[in-house]
Amino acid sequence: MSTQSRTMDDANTSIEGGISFGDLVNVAELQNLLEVNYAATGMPSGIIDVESGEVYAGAGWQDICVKFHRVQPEANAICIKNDTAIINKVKGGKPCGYKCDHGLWDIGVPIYCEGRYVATYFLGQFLYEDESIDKDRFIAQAERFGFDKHDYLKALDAVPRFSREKVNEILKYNTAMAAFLSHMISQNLRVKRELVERRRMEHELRRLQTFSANIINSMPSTLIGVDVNGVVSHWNDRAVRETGIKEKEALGVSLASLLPHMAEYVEHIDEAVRSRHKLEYLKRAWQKDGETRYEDVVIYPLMTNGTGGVVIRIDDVTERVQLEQMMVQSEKMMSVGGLAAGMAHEINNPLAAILGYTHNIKKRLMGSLEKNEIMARQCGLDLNCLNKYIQGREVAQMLDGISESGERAAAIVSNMLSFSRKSERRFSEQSLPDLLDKTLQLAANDYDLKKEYDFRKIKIEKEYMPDMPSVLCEATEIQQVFLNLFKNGAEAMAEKEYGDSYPRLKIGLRRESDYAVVEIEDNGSGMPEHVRKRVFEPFFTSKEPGKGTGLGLSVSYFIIADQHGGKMDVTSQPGAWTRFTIRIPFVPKE
Amino acid sequence: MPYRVLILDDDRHVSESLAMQLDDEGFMTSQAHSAEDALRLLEDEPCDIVIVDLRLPGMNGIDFINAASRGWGKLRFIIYTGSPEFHIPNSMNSMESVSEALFLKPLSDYATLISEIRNMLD
Repeated sequence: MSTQSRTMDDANTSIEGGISFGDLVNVAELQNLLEVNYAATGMPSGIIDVESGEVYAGAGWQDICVKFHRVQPEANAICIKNDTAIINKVKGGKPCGYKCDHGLWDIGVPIYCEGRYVATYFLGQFLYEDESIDKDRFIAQAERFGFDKHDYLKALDAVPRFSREKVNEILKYNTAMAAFLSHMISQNLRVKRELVERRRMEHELRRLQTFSANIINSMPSTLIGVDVNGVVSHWNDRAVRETGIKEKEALGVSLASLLPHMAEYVEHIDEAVRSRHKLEYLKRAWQKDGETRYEDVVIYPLMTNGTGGVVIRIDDVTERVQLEQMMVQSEKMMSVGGLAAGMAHEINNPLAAILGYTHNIKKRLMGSLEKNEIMARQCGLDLNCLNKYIQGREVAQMLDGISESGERAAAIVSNMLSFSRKSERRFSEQSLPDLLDKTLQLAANDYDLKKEYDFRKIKIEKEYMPDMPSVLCEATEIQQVFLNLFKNGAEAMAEKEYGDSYPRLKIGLRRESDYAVVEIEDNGSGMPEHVRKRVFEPFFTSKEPGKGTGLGLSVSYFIIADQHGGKMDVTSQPGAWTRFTIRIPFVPKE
Repeated sequence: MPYRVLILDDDRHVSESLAMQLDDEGFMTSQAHSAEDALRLLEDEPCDIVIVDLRLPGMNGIDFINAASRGWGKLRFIIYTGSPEFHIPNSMNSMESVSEALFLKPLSDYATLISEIRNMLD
């Protein structure tokens, strides 16, 4: 029996992936097996790793080896040389006997793992019964290595001796045992490999699960998994945020009961699953907290899921829809502007003639011109009588009517022109409180003149945030917007009976990040939703025919949104109030 | 001696209605419907001031003012146009003979125009 000098501690090689022979057998059972075999046969044995020299099991090892040869450096060097020699022989694939240089026998039997020689099943050391023992040689060895001669010879006497037949029988058993172990460790290695692969896959699966959950949760869309019965099976973070319903409260509950406005889509789940096509419902309007929101709803059938079901994806597209509406609005205005630029000249000329002639008629009929008198005398006409006639037949009113209508037509053309982009803008720093106050003054004068409404009877409530920064804007345009809204408010209030109350115009001015916010609120007749939605459309008017151009608010909108990069909104409570909110950036946005 | 006003406008109704106004105010008026006609008319009868439309068939109002200024140094001009988008060249803005006031069609305030004519000539 030859043991190698290396121990378990420096075992550093393996069959594969850190797995060694010792990992593929039960080492304690193997040790027991060798011990009972030694007890039965008296043959010492050991199982040793080919690469690392690790001893997995051993029994009956002889003192002559472990107490003499292996502990004396010079003698051990010979042992190691012999170990290598026998292993090299065993590598040939067959059991191999070998008499070591110290005069003792070993037999090595290879153990294979998937055809690779991994460990050696050693028998020995022993001596054959039929060989004579050269005592002098051992005495010489004792002297050479400095062993106690008596003890050494005693150890030699203890070495078991077998007949050649007996050794052959024992060897058959060990060869069969080595084959059994080879088969077992090969099988165990495959099992181990599968186990390692399964762990790797489980780890990968968990990683993928986390990954896809992260993706689903970080999606900017609401994603809801629903089975064919409309019961929620998945509820992502966005769904939690949008609905305020926690995942654990949503799972297993019917979607229709969680989100009543989604009930109509639940009916289409079957259809999507059957047809295997996604269903899209775009820009669907619904009411949330009294506000109209728009959603894109897409129902994706789950093809691979055996149980059937769908994923419903919901995107809030309110802002995009509003932006689109605003762009359509802006487009409309621009086309009006383009049209106006082309036709202004063509319309203004005939208007100039109509208004010019009307003016002449008035002067020649009713004016105090010398030429009138001369002509009247030549014709024998009494101008006093003519005047009476003109008054009696209301000719003057008719002429005034022509003038007013012509002027209104001119105002419409002029308003339409303000929709065209100006090539040069005169922006300057303006104080909004000053502009508002100046415009209020203007509005008061305007109404004094026309007497349609007495602006002085309106209670003006101002709420200006102190220290408002100045705004870079085109002053006349912004004033035009304010004037328009003041007039609008005054007209809305003129339509209403107040009783104990009184007409009131609230003007608010405050700062909101990069914007100056102006709010102009009247407590007039308000407007219904279908009017409110359309007030900024060109040529839309709720006023009686003949009043207003239908362009005032759309011009205002254009000035704020298009010329100044601001925003303009209107909210109203029919019968109670209307509030226009204007946001003007402190510095215009390009 | 009343001031002589030439009204240059391709729209006959526009020029006629304006001429009637000015007649009544005591001016001597004549009318032309193209810049070319106006230049011929100026050759025949002297004139103090021209009310000029800008968009004209053939030569436009700006070119007319330049041409007429070269021929008649003392002639004054007032622009009366239906094209609010029309830009007057900067060189014209500095010309003393051209009124700084731009009159837009349709005009409702004739008194201002009349006082501007007097203002230019007095």
